[in-house]
Amino acid sequence: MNLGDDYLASTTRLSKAIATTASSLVQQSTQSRASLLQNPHYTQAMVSTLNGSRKVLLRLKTTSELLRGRFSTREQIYRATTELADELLQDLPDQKSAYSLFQGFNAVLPDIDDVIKEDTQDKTDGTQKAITDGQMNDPLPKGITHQKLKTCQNPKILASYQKQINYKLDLIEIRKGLAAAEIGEIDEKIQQLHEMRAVVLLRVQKFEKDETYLELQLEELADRISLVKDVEPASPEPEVETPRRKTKPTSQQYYESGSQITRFQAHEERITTFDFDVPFGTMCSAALDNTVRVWDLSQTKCIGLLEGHNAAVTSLQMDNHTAVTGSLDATLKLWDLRHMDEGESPMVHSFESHMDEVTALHFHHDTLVSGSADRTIRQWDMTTGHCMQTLDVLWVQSLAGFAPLSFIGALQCYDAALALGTADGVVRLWDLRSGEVVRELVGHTGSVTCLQFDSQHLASGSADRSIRIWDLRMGGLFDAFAYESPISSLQFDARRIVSTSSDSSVRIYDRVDQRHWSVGEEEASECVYARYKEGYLLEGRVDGSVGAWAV
Amino acid sequence: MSKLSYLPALEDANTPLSKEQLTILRNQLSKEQPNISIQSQFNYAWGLIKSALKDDSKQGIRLLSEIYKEYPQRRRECLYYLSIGCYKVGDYSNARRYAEALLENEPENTQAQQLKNLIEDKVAKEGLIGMAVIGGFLAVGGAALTAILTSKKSRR
Repeated sequence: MNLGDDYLASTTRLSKAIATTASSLVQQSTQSRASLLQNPHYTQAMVSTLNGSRKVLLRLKTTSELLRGRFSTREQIYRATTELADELLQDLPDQKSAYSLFQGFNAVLPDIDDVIKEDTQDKTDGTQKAITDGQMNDPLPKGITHQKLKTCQNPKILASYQKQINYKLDLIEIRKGLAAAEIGEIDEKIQQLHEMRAVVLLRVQKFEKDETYLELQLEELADRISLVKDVEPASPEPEVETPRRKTKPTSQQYYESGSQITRFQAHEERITTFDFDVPFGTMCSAALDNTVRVWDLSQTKCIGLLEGHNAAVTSLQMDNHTAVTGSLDATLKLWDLRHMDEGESPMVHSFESHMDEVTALHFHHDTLVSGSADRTIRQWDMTTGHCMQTLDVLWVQSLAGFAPLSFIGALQCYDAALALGTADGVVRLWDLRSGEVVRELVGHTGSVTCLQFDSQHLASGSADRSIRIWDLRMGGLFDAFAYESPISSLQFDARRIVSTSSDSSVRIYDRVDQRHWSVGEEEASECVYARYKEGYLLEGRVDGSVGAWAV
Repeated sequence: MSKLSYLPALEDANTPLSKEQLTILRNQLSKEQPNISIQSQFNYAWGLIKSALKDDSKQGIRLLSEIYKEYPQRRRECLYYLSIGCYKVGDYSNARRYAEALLENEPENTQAQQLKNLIEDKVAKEGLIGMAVIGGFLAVGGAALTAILTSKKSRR
């Protein structure tokens, strides 16, 4: 026991002794350090020890640093955040700038002193003073005025002025050089940011592709589940309408406006029409090669065919997993895109009452309205497939001199409202309940080829090369403009009006900036149809190719 | 042009700015938020390093190391400033590392060479003191050990 106590006591003594020696040596003033070094015996002993191992010693941290740094966490944090790693020290670019930052610092100091001087003169707002570029009206050094320079007779004073101005000029030259160098550095940073953006964009695209793939798996799984359920006694559970996709691709908005995202050969012949659900989602396209194809836009891969029409499809609309096609064979067909790769046909209904080519169709909820070259409009129930009513427009006159491409050029319905654009250049608004025309929008001098309306406006495009925007409340013309050739398709929202007009470009009218611009004019073949959603634009051409653009 | 030399001498780091000058430099930074020019960053950093307060100088070193990381074109001169700053706050090992890294790339840089010599002299002096400390350690330790041993022996 005694032995242990004694041992403990002697170790405490020892540590105390070390602590006092160390602190007295390290923290005492330089004077006493010097006195220690002046002790000749001590110095000699130390120098002889050091001579051989000076280099080695230099590699080590000095003792005082060790004693100081080891124990304080604050010090360690400071070191961790400020100490530069060795690899950073190795990475030294070759270029050396004409002026150093230190020179810039010195060149700024006189200005700072000026600000302080002004500050002491007027005590109004001294708190937020900073160096204001170009605040000085007169760049002449303090105490020198233009007047003095002109009137001074003393050559000595004049020489001193010369010297001061020269000095000032040097300072300004330094600041100019440094500011110019900084522009270069900013440019470099912008370049780096651009590169970084490209990398991140690739990442977004990859994620979207993965999402699309997973969505596809989910879809198949849902089918599989319903298949397995069908084996069990069928439950009369009503089918719940669920959106087909859980996620929404958005990467089109990160492309530069007006840049092409992709282009692919969708058909061998002239595209007639197409529609898609979401950007990078699913597209149904029809062409004069008499096929209707379903595409996965994220991979630009054909994932199915809609087979059943005997002639080319000229109008088409899709929404979620429902697609309706109208064909030159006088029929309309309703498709369920979920049943594409199984043995059964994806066709749900075939609407076969028209006597002539179907030229326009539109559906909203369960109501489908179609227009045909037999000069009738038919309203269909999409759930049963029955024709609900037939309206004829036999009384509409064709405009003289125009060979109408299609008598009913375009139509759109919304609940009981129907807008119809015909070959006589008039847009008529119908009430489907009464079957009567409510309003006529007269103005086009050629057949109406395309139209669309929202809650405020109706836009119509015509073979007379003009696009007219009508105010639905007042019934008057809201806006109008014309391009060089007949309008073949259009689509609009609050921001833009996108249209095609029998040439290679897609015309875009920015409604906010009131600016016309276009994409795709460098392509060789004529663009015939364009659709866009959320800044993602698709256009189909005479040569059968489809291009995607960010707008 | 001596006043406008490319790199500062060591003495420059030891002449503090006035409080007003430093305040103006700091105001300049807050005025330029969030995109601060290098020159303004450096001005404040160097102003801090010049300060008589050690914590200010350390803050200045921190800012300088940020500049070093962010602007590769300024790295060479920043090494020199950093070396001076570290020397000033007594962080000799880093002062030496930075000066050596600079000299490796610019062997003909006389100012850097002078700075390195200064640092090495300082380190050597510190080394002498360090030796003294270690010597003290050993002496006291030895004495204590012998004391323990002898006391152990005498107990027997």
